[in-house]
Amino acid sequence: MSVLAEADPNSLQALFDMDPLKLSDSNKEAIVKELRAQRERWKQAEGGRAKKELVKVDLSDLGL
Amino acid sequence: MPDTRLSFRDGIQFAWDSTSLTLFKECPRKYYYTIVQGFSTRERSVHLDFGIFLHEAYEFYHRARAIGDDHEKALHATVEQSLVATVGWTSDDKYKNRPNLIRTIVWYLDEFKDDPAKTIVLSNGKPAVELSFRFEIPEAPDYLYCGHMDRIAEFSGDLYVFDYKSTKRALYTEYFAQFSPHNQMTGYTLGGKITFKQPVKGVIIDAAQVGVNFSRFVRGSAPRSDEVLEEWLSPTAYYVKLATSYAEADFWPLYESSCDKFFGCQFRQVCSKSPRQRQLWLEADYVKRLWDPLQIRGDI
Repeated sequence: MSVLAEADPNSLQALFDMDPLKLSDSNKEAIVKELRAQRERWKQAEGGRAKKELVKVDLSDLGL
Repeated sequence: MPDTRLSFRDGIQFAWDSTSLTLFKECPRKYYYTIVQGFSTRERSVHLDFGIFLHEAYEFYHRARAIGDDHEKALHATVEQSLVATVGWTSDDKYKNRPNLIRTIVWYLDEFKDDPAKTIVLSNGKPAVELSFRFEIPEAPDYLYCGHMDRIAEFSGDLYVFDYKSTKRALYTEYFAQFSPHNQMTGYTLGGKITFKQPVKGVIIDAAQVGVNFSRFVRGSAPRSDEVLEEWLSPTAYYVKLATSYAEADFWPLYESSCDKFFGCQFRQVCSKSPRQRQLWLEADYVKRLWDPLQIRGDI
């Protein structure tokens, strides 16, 4: 199995459930890779949310 | 079973740490049940376990970096160490569980990959990580104050003790306000100054907000001036002597105003019973986990 195949999000739990002493280097690489991918997705979603909130700001919000 | 703890002599605590001091100040009865008698709830706290695993992981990483491993090598070794350390650890908590622990470790280490805070190397050549400290309390020379700090690092030209915290709460400024005043942070600063003879300015807290699907990190500080440190020592001497007088008189007053703090004291149901029934309730409903502040965890 290639590292990329193992990096499927659904496989992360399976990797966590394995005996850690039996994890191959590619298994460990897959864990780190998937967690980093999760972080990137979360950062993008966070960035998107922040932008959305900025767009909402309007002069009318000041009640003038 | 005889009490073989190093921090007790004839049933009286002479070596104090932030856990025991904070408990005594909160309620002498709670201190008596938790520290002197060593009673604890049957369920281990997932928050405590999560925090311990997180500390161990960061310590492992910083040691690896200090001996020359690059970020990738140290991070991968840390993940492996953490997976091994947490085998069999089960948590039903939707925030603080094993997958979220590993996620928090990887995200934190990546976030601070190029950390401007540099761990110092002590005069013995070892990196200043997971350090046990102890010093005599000046106005109570028969007593020691001790503890374990995560690391001492240089940050913006000054030295600070670094501590790690994890929480489900959002990390607003108010989160860091809780650390000043704070026994643990003041003790760390004194430990850094007195035991390790480093001119530390206070504590920097690396806090992790652990969500269901994310971990967010904020760095905050708890500085301590020399005046504040001096001021803390006198009442500390007072409290440890007071605890001795309570122990000698076997008199452990209850502070009712503390009973409902932190979602309710774990001994509330015991204290609500009549005095002669309390010990039976303790023996039946709690387990013994003796706390020994002098147990060394890292380098001293």
